[in-house]
Amino acid sequence: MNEIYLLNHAIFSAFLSLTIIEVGISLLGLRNYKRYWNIMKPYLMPMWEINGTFAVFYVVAFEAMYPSLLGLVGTIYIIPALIAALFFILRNAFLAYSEYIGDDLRERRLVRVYSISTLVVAVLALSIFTSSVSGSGINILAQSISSSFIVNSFNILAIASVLLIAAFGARVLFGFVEGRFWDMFFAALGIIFMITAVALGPSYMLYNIKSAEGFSLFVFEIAFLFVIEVLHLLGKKSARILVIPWLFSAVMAFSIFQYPYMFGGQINAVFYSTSGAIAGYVVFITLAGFLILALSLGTLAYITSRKPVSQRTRKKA
Amino acid sequence: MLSPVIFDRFDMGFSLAVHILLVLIGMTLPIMILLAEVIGTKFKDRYYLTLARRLTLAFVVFFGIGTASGTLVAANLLFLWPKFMALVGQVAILPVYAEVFAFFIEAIFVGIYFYSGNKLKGKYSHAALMVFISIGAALSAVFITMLNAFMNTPVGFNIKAYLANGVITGVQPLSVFNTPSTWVEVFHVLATSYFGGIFILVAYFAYRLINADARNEEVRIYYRKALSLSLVVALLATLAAIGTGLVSISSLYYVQPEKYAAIELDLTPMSHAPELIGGIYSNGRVIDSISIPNLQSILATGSANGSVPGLSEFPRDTWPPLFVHIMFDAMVFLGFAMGGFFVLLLLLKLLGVDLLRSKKVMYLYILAAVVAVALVENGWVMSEIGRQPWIIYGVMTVSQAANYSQATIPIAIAVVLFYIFIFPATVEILKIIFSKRQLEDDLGIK
Repeated sequence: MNEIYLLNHAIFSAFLSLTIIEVGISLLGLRNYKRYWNIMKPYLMPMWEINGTFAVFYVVAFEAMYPSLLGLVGTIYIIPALIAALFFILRNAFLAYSEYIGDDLRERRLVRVYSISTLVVAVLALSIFTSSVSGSGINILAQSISSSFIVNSFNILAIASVLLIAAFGARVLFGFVEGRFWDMFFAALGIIFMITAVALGPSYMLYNIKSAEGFSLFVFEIAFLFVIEVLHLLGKKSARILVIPWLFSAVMAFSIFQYPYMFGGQINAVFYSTSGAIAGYVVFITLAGFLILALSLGTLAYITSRKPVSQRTRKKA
Repeated sequence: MLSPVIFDRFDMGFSLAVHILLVLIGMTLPIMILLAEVIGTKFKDRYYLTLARRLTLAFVVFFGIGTASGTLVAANLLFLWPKFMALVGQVAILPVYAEVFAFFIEAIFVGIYFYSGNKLKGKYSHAALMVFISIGAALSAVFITMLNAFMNTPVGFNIKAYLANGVITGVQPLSVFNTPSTWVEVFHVLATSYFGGIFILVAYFAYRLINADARNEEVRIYYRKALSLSLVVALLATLAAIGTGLVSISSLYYVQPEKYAAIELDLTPMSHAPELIGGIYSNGRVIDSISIPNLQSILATGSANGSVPGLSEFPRDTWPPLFVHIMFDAMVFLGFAMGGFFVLLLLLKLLGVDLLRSKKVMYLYILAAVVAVALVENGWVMSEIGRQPWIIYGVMTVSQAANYSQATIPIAIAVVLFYIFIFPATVEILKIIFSKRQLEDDLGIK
């Protein structure tokens, strides 16, 4: 497999898996603010900036890895992408406002705007992504887009699937165990929607899944999800640790099934990937960046999980 | 019908102009928080420690808006100028890509800083986290400026071959980190960003002092300490901005002669060139200017008979709009005025005026901040218009790079409306946040 394609989709998978959790947080916040918000907040507050930075990371990585596609992509997606960018500012602004407003009623209202903005960004971003996979609503030759890039069965099913899985993922991550049978049901429904979407989508995806390697990967992802569901059902903490890695691997698997095409097979992504002298540097910066990112996130996780100094010193004494 | 390119330009220019304001604040606040926390910790000064805490709150809110606004600018670059980004992607993407990781360091350490207040042992370990944030913020500016320098002085690929057949060959990916204009521009951008940002804080503290309750001495001490620290940083930033500005102008002479000729309004190359103050181009000549003989040659080359470039050396259709000369004059005038501002403060001090108590001086600080921010914005606009009609000098024009979709028109309008909403909203929310967290409570005097 082309290493540029692999790296690009690894970044995309990291970005999307974190975003799916944030979508889940938004859904739960809208569903029952009182019950969920204060439990999810300690995760969201340091993470929302990092999720946002991942969005920029993916956009710039795409620019670096597929420069000759930028003319096409930039022209086609200008409307949904810039609308999503505006809602992205709303998302950031209202979450930042809510964090320090110090008044429960106001915080609740601000969180509502944050949640709705996040969902709008997610729906637009997913529609861009699914149309880049299926080519629905896109006219490559005329470099134009129509509303059917959102309103098509592939996209609607994929979005419904992501929303269900997002709610499931957030509930597992934060260990919400009441009504966990429903979680299983919704996760299963999400997977069924996704499989149906793929079946209705571009034929080469189904072809890739039917291959021996593709089918093994597909079975692995389903089994991985099943393990998480069982652990969640049993109330085990390990389900919480596994859910983001599963999301990452599931999105990555989707990308592998898509390989190497875009826009319903009209474009071979490998043909358009960066090459020559700059490609090596792009790979190097990506790997070095991942290392910096891992170290920084490790530091964040380590420090935020520590007890306050006063408690630690009291324990020693 | 209006060309979408006009809206592309407007959208980009407006987004950048607003984003620059957030960058000024976003780069300067970490430095101020760091200084306040270190001083507060070293001298066990609760005023400085409170200052660090309160500035952190403002920083986190502005950082949230700033990162989102930065994302919009990044999206604008791709969607408004897709052909430009296609070329950048093949030749000069590395600093833009590296900038993402500087941004990551900043974002992650903001989280660590904010949530580790009581979790770190060392006396200065919490403050040390702010060093990473400051470095991340500064590196972001450095890398983005490298792309701008590439736009001014493109290198790193075979330009002749590209112009002849549109094919990119001979790519040297690392050249973009060191174009002829890179380092001069980088240092000037860093200096002017801190300069603009610190004056915004000077104005804020002066404003608070004007309105502070005269009976509440504790609060007044807090704002005076904040103002005096800001003024020290402002003095250093002003010196750096003027110094790098002078180097920047003289380097234009070597590396961007067409822009230099336009901002100096030199119609023909000449020796013994006079410095023109004011003046406009009309019917092939310059009118209404004050001319100081030989000064331009002396400033540019160090010698009265040194020769300077002229616009006649370049095709007429690539001349930038010549009002950049007036913008340049305004910049030099205001730059000197800012230098004069500190001389004036020194004189007032010698005359016995209390620089931290006099209301009139407070208004002077606010005026200085308006001038400082105008200077930074004016500098950027002059630099960008001075490169027109090129987006990448001598390689690609703005019109060649633009997105011609009619969709850019409503999008440009939406962006403007959006910023008109988001800025006052942020100020209003900060007001609510700080009204709930009374300064007196933070200082422990209630």
